[in-house]
Amino acid sequence: MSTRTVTVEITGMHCASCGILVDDCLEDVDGVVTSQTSTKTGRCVAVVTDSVTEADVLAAVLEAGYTGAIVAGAP
Amino acid sequence: MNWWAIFGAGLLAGATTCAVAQGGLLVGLINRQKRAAADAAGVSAFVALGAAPTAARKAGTGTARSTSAARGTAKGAVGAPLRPVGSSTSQDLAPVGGFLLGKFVILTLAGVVLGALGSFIALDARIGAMAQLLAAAVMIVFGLGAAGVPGFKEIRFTPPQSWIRTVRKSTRSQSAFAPFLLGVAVILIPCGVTISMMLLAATSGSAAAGGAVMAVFVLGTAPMFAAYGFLTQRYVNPDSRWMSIALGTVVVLMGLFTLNASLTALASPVTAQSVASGVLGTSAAAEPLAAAPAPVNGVQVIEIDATSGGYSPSSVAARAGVPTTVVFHTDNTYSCIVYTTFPTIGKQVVLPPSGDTEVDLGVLPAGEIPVSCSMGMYTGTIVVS
Repeated sequence: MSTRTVTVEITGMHCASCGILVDDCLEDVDGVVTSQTSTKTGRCVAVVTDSVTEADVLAAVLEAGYTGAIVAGAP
Repeated sequence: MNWWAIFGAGLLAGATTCAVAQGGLLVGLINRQKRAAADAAGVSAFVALGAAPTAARKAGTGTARSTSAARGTAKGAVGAPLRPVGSSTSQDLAPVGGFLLGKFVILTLAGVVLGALGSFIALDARIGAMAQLLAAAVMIVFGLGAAGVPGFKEIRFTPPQSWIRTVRKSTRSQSAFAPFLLGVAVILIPCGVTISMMLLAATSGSAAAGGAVMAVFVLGTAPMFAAYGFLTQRYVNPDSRWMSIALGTVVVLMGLFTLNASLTALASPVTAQSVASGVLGTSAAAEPLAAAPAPVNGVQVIEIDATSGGYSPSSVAARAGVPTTVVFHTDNTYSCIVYTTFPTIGKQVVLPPSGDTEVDLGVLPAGEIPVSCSMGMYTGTIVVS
């Protein structure tokens, strides 16, 4: 199954716990291979399979308690 | 030490900062464990309460492994949280208790170590006061950041990746002790407010006081943590504006208090007391209650009780131009007051917990000689005239 990278700009994170929570929520979604969130840059880079849509990723970020926006054209 | 302010900071932090996110990590851990147990038993781990969790299930998976299901909430079904099958409030509270216990133990221990380290640094009053000054500045910066002040809210402690990996690994553990271990692991990912409390512990003057600072702070985070992070089975947006402002204000005030204490220990001409006395047109030092003691064999002896809560009397009279000895009486005294300093004349003494300690101050000129603990928390004055 092929994978792609989805980059999300996240607002509302305060500390490392927030970043870990975002990754935790994302990696609970079937089809999310890895998630790496940096509270320093405020960005999350998720590697996902084709079964996962951008909306799924944003929904998981929202579930963690934060708001996100897909960064178009990011690697 | 204002314990209620520390407890209040914990209470607000429990609803606004890392404690909220940590609650999310704990809920994820617990539900992952219960799902694994249910999978092993061959049953579905979750049922919907009150509404169908349509958004919580992903097409094509046939399982409840979406984010929402794993965390026990149902997106698109507001007010209808999912709960793990067979769970009860008492069962759910056990891991919360384990997590809080782990966090309480590790942060209290950290407070003890930091308090001991801080009191060791304060053995040299000047270095101690400078370190305190630095701690105060960091607390004020993190306080302004917690309040959301632009230019400060972007300043964060970024732990090494290896520390983050350790915490993430602990959220995936299937061990029965996992909640406790996650509570221990969160010391690796402190937020600015937690770091501020650690600095407060370091400047508390003793290992016991340092441990107490962190213990009270963690206890303060517990009620909101339990209510928001777990019992409601859902999360609040950490951007609770007024709570963040209140929390930031408390931390900034603690920073200012620490700053004033360090300025006092450094015998700075500008302290809160000197500013207040300047505004009110009064002397910064209280009027001595008793007259200066009569010299004996050409030496005047001033007696001061150094208790765990301060100097008594806090203001004593002395004669100028007479050789002076101060005798400090201690009786089960266990605070930073045992590190007593006369910053303007460069004298410093370490008092025993109990006993009498003589300090030769030489011949004093007319004026006010401040005396304080090395942390600047307890102060007194010798009024020489």
